[in-house]
Amino acid sequence: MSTSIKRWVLLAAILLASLTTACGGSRTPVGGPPPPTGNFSNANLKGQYAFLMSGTELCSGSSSFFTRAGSFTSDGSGHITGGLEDVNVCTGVFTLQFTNSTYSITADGRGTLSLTNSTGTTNYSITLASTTAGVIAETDVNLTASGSFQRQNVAAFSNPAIANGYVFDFAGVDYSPNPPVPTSIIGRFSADGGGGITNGLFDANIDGVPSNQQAFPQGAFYQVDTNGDGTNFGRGTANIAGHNFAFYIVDATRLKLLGTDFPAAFSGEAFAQQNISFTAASLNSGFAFLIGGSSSTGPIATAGRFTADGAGNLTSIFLDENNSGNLTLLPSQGGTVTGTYTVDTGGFGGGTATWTDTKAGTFSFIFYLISPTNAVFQETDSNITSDGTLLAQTAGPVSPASLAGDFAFVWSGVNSDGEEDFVGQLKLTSASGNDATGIMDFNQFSVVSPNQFFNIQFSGPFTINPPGTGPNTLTVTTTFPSPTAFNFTAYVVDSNTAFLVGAETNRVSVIAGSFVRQP
Amino acid sequence: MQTVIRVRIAAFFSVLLLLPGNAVWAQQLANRPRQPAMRTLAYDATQETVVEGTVLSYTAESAIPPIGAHLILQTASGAIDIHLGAARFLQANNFSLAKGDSVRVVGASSDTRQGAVFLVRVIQKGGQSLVLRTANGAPLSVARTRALGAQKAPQQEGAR
Repeated sequence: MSTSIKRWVLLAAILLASLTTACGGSRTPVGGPPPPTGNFSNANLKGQYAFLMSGTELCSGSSSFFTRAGSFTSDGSGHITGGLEDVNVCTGVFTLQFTNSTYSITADGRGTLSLTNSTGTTNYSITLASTTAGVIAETDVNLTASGSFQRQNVAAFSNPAIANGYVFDFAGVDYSPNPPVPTSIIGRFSADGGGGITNGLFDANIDGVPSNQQAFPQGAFYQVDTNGDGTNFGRGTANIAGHNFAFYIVDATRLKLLGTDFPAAFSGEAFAQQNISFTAASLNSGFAFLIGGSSSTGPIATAGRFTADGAGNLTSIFLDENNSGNLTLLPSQGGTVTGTYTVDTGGFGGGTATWTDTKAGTFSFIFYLISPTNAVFQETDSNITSDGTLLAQTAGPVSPASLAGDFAFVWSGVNSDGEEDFVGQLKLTSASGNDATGIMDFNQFSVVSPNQFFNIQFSGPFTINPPGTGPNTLTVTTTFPSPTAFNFTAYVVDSNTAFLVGAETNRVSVIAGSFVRQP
Repeated sequence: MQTVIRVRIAAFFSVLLLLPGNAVWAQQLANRPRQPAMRTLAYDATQETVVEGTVLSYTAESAIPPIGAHLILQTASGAIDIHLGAARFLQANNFSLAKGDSVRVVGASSDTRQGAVFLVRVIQKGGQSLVLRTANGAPLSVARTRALGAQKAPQQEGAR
């Protein structure tokens, strides 16, 4: 969240306090978990990977948003042989090189990563979704963060590889108004393969006030570093939507970007945009979405789904909003929901989506299409700064059998004490009852009593409500040291992916995330 | 969205969720918790008021939304629930609150499913004043430290 739920979002403070007392800092709880099973090993993390994460750091005794992006190279046998990162922390923006770093992967794809730079060593828990991608959470005492990493294609480490349309989504903290405020920026641009940028369009949401669509100011560019960092790590610099960034190339279809206009701090990703002229007809299926950020009452996370008919109409709309612990579900009791969408003329993929619950009111969003099945999504309702992802859904029906298998997950949240980040493995079976089990590490940031938890097992029911493409429920309870329940609403994207938003009714928390199938 | 670029396609508003063609969703709805409509209202700066009173109780980690510290403030018109945001932000700014304190708050009331809550933008106690929210209501608890960092050369605490 940024200040977002990715910013990213949460747990019951009182129950976590009991966890804290019993197992904070221990890598293996009493009566430890069974040996992990699966086919992963150190050999499955081999090559060059780009990563991006954001979170909360301790700074002069207070919490502060920070973000990091970079590249590391792993040798397949537990060693990080090189790498580089850019960090935007409370003391400034720095580019740091990795030395003498290590990692370890267990059979279930979970593992640890320790990255050493000139300031010291930072530590992470990771879960591989495949040999080319995974999720990551920082587990240091004074820093928590979460994000993802993907294997880099070194053949794309050049300006010519970055060409044609890209859609982006940045979130963080801006300082152009004072005091600093939460900000989300989504948009698109065309890269010319030589460092030039044209047709730049963006929508900024600054402190819950949408900018409406703007053209990029003068000065937009991108440039892969020419000092060796470009060819070695895929690093470059750019000016996008009026802001300066360092970026790391995953491949020609994906960039990870970190804002360098300190003290402002943004981060996000850019994705290659399908080279078509987008119209309303481009949206013609079911879609699921997950967004997160902040509102005037605190952290907010929202998940949902709708069906777009290709002609501007939205139907079968469901939504779960957790706004600082206040839950809003659509359709509301006695209410019905109707909606519409538009796609901009000009074909660049921008558009709007709006729906109204007859009892709960209107919800408004904008998007930029990456393709007819994928978009970045931003809420534009007053006093809400929240953004995320919109993905085409399977037509369904979704069944327990279709979802059975192993998944990597990452959740991020906020409780009254601060940010929390979770990473682990979830196992789903087609059995009725307690068909979800898993194990996770998580980091609870706190100025007063930060704690890290490792190898925490959980189990519970994943209840699919036919047809399964609407809101389902996942309720899992940790088994150590005392039962702690996590209640989620789950929107299934397809048999490989689902979005989760916390739906606690007996404690104040905001949490959201996703899970992705492992092979 | 800029009107010259975003053209709203003619809307068709009459599609209801439970038309026969959408019967596939009937079970989904039946299993769905149905709540009375109550979306947390946004901070409305035009409705800002000043409230003065005596602290009846202070809770750093409230069990009711919104997340964070709450006061119950006894005012001339009764007791009201006051939301302050993250308690750590108060602590970082050496702002303490306790039963019996006389405080003055500037903010706006918001309705939630649990009842009305007063979202504080500025709180004053004695000669001390602390801004808790931006003019549009966003809590400052996360972002503010970076502002201080930019001005005061903050201390890193551990590896970065």
